[in-house]
Amino acid sequence: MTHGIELAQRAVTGARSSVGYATARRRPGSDSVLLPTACAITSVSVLLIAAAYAAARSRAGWAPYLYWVGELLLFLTAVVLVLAKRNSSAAATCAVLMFSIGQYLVKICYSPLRLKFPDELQHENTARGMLETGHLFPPNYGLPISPVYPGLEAAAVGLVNVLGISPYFSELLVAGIAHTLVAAAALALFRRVIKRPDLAALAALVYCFGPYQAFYNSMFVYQALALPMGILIVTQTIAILQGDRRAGRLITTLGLSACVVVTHHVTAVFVSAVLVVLAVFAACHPRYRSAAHWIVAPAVASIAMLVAWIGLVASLTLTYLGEPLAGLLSNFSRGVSNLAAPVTRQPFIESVFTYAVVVVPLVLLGILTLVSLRQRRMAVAALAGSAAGLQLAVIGIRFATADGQELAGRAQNFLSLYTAIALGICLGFRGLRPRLRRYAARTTVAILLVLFVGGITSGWPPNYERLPGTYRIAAFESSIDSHAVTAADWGRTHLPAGGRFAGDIGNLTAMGTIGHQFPNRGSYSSIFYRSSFDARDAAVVQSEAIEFLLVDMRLSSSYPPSDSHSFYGNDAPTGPQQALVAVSALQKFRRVSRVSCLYDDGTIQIYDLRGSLYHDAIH
Amino acid sequence: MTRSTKFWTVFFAGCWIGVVAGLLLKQPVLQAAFGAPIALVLPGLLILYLMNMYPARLERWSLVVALSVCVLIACVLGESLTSAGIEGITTLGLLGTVTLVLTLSAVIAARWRSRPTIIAERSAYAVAPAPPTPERRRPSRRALTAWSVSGVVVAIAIAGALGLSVVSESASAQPQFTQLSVTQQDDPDVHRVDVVNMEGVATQYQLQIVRPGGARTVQSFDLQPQETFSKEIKMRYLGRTDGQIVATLYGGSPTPLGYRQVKVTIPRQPMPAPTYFSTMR
Repeated sequence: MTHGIELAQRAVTGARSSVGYATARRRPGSDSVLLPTACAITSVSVLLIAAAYAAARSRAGWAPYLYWVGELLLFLTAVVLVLAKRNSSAAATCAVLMFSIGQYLVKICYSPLRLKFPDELQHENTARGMLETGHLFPPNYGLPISPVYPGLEAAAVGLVNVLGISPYFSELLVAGIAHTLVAAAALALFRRVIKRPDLAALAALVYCFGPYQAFYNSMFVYQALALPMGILIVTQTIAILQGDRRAGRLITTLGLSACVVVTHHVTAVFVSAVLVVLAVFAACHPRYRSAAHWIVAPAVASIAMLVAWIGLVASLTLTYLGEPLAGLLSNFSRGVSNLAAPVTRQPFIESVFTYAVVVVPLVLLGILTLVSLRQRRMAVAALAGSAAGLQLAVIGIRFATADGQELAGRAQNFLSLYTAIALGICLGFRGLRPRLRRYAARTTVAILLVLFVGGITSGWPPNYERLPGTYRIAAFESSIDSHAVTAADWGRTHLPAGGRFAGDIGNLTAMGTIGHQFPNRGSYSSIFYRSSFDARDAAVVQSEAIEFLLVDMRLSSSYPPSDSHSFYGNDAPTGPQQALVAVSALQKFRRVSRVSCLYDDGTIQIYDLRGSLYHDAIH
Repeated sequence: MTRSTKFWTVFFAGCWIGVVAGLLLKQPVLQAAFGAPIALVLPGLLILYLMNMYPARLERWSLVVALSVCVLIACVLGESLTSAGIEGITTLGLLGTVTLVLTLSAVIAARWRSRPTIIAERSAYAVAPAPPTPERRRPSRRALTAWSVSGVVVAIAIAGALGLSVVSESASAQPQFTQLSVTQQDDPDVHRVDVVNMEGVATQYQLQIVRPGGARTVQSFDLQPQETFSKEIKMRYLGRTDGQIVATLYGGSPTPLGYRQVKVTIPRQPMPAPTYFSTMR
């Protein structure tokens, strides 16, 4: 009973102090005008970006300028609202959520009629398979691991059935909820850790400015849904450490962990790792030692669920994650100097921001570590130092593998949750000398601007696809045009499912997802380049078991994007100048014995190689 | 029952009635509008109530939505294990059952929640000074005006952004080509040539079909936008070498070759078994 009284008293005093904080910061009438104005400006910035996209679709040269004006307006609204001195914590929360919703609306405006991003198409294919078969685990030739992590698709299918909406709207709804939930969950987590609402909001904004947050986490992809659940698990675990409704939070954590395990492999691994770290921390820290067993339980349960799921259902995960991990480790052991990962060619000013977004946080964290050490604030020093270490690890990944740019971006998505806390504290640092204090706000805005613009220039989509409307061969979303989609639709209707296709990367993405065919990403470019039939090509066709060829006549007139090796999947880098394919080489398939041409729209042809000379020739 | 609990009970009961009405009257808008709170809010709210958890507002609503999505996923996963599989009405039924179980559990938990704790909490409040209740001010006229203007601006801007995007994307993604294809039908002796007009305008075509052995037919026709022309080719090929059906289409948007062409190879028939063995007998 005494314990109950103590708890209640603590709750009361805690509540009073928080109320006191809010009233101390709030000035009457400040939110009542600033908040609605910010809402209106955010929506206007979305309108400006949508206008820029529309202008880009009609090839207007001023579209990029309008796009950047819209983005900067979106940025300024959120930052001003968070940094405004007379604001309540509710206004800071609104700033973060409005920014996040704005980001999501921008993504919808990019492709409002259908999902276009390759990763989204892969998951859409799984959801479509679940709706068609009525069961889990439908075959997915484009991304075979997607059906064994069906959480995202199950949520979308559930909404289709309960709300009676179309699968496309359901997918948009799930992605929108997930995207907004990431910002909300990150803010809730930062508030648990930092306590000061303005710093927590700053940290949340820093996280939202991250390279993958704007577009990638707005997509209908499994990571986008698992990430907010993972963040909420960490939030609940920290709340357990703080002694707040432990039993209820433990059950909630277990439920969310189960959901993460069936939704995304890497997030499940990340969450398990964080729970283990928190359990070790609790066991070592004298203040939390008595609560350590409350943390060990979800950590063990999370690992057990993950192992059980991989063992019983998703054994494919070991190969899927094992191969890039082995590549990463072997590259580290060989030394990273000999690797030259292809990078997107950017204008100089964009490159400056792309590099600054890596360097600036490192410098800030370094300064914070040194200052904290001098002031003997060891906890902050440890936080900033470890965050700087993580940032360095991400840079190491970036240069250690050939696809380091993507891997580093994905890793940063998780690790920046931690670095954002340190950066939030750093940006809200008030221990400056009085004559420097007046520059603090301007410096904070400048640093946030660097992080925001750098997040866009180094994130998704690459600069050549940042504005929609221009077709690019062998690229990502800009390759999904009406030719690719109708050819893939035709393939889904008229060809047996899972036919092994060869072709350029862009069309192969459409055929592997919308077309429900197997996209062969082997090394077979020679078939396309040679001007006539060759027995060596037959050997390649037989070794890669290619059944169908997709030939796009635009291979003869357009170069692949600067960050692609070539038009095709796994071919060695040839350089864009060598990569054009002659028209005669693309037309030769019509002349090869027993090759059937099943489809021709003037731009795309689909050839059936089964039973042809390519399969019969002895080499 | 507190005023808040009463409000939510009435609200969600109304939502259920709305969903059922939407289903019965076949009004998808009604079903979507009333189904969203049921799918995305109610289960999470009930779980938090059951756990007696009342975290800060932002964390609470994040948990409510996340837990509701978890319940939805669990329903679909559970449903797929049944022989009926994942179907619209089954998902709704399962979600309803889960919600009902959660509601009953929440009611029972609220009734049987340990009494000593309540007494302890009451005593605590008696000992400690009463928590200050935040003063609820009526919104000022200035705030009301600001929010009203902002609401109108937001609605116009978002609708404008989405409308502009849809219109410009529809215009730029409009296909302007003709699709020519050939497919084998269930009967291996029947092939079908399809021409689909995706040019966006009525178009005149000429289709030339060459059969194995050189027989040639030419046919001219007009197609309206999105209209399809199909031609079935029935033939039993008995040649000693592989034959080909070649369909060449003239008309429509320009192509690098000046025409569109599909061809299908018809393998030669296997030689009939020699009969001299039987004659020797």
